Amino acid sequence: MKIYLKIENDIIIDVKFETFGCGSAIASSSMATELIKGKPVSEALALTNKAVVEALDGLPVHKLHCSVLAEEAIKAALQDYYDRNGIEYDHEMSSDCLSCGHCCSQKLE
Amino acid sequence: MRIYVDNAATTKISEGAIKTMIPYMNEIYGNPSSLHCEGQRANEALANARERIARLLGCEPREITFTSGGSEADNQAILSAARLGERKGKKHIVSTAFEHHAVLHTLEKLEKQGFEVTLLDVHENGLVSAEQVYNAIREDTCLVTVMYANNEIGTIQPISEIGAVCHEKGVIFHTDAVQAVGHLHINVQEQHIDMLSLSAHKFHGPKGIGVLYARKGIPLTTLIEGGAQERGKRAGTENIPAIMGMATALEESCAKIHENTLKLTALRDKLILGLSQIPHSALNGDHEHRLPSNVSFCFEGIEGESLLLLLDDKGICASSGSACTSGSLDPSHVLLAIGRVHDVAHGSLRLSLSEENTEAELEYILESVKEVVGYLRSISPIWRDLCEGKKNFILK
Repeated sequence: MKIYLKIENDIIIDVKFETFGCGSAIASSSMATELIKGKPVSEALALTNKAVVEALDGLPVHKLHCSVLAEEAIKAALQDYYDRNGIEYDHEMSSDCLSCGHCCSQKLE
Repeated sequence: MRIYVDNAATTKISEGAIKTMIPYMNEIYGNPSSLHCEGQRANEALANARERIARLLGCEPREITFTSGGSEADNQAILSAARLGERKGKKHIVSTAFEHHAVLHTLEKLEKQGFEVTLLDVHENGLVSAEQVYNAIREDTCLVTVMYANNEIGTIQPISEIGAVCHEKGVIFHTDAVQAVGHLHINVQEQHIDMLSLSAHKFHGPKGIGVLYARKGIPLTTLIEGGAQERGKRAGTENIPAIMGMATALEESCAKIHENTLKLTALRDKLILGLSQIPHSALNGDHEHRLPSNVSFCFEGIEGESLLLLLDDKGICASSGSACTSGSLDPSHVLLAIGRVHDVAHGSLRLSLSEENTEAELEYILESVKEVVGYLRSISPIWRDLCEGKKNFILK
């Protein structure tokens, strides 16, 4: 899962995703981008996998990890944004998304 | 429009089978164990179905045991041979790495009971050889069980040769022929098969009914205790409508084997040729030794479940060996057994044809698969990495 963010004045004005995975993984990443588009960065940081699942009207139990990937990918992208712009942030808030090896973050610009 | 190309999963019941079944639900509905006329008529039907099925397999009626399907037949065959072996101090079984789970899980259970199991490696073309079986048989081998045709990749094993090897060595030979019966010519005598499992719903018969053929002299271990049905080897009132439907469906299928083989092989090869044109894809399993109905492909850079969902949206019913479709983290053990690496095995697609599929449907399938694979690759970060040279392509 890859998330691309376009941020202006601390607002996420555009967001895109790339996903290799099952239907639930693609749906989770797509829904996560919908949920943070147009929102301030601080709100996007508060996105939880639970919110993604609710917005999708639920996921099968064995597919819940797909929503976790979406949350982690968004957080990783935002962390990348902070790092590149030299903005201080709480390192605790970011998930360590290294488990699957398919996850990384990039900015749109 | 809906296009059904998942016939290895299950098939539509034939009209002939349905017509045969109905009277056994509302007219001749007696219990075959009952003494009255209604019961005896059902009992005659049961004997008739047993005879017809035995004739088609080349065995005797009393060598046929009706079961709830292929899984039960596999379980009973393996456990019976194991119990027989155990009594003679023989606790070694030879099988292959890409059997159906009805076989593999039964073997795992026996391993916990002290049996030793040798799972033969499958060559990358999806075949095992009689020589491999020969070399694996030991003094204490009580059973060789090798599937007739693989359910995912459709490769047909050299069953006659394996049977001959087993008989030369004096070992019982069982084959899970669920994907083969009704589609390939089978004769248990000529092919040296001691035990065979089949399932009716794979050849346009009803679900929930199957057969275990066991050569006379091989005592069966009962899995279901109760009444004396099936000579005491399988308790429970016989499912007469399903048994009658199965006999009809098997007769119909066997009568059309030659005709269907010609038709399906042409359709299959057209699909294989068309799908091969998608870059970085590969056919799974040997092309020549293959069920006429089976097309199995891997597409690099995508995942099989999303492929199935998008094809379903386009009206196409297919199947995949992807991990995401199975509820486990590992992709199909069959694809891993033929040496597909995880990343490639995740992107698998199985199309299994029936004689009802048409050229026009095939054209639509080819067009749709190309479109969906292209779309999924366009949103796949793995595909991007492959294209940007950050990872190496595995499939050409």
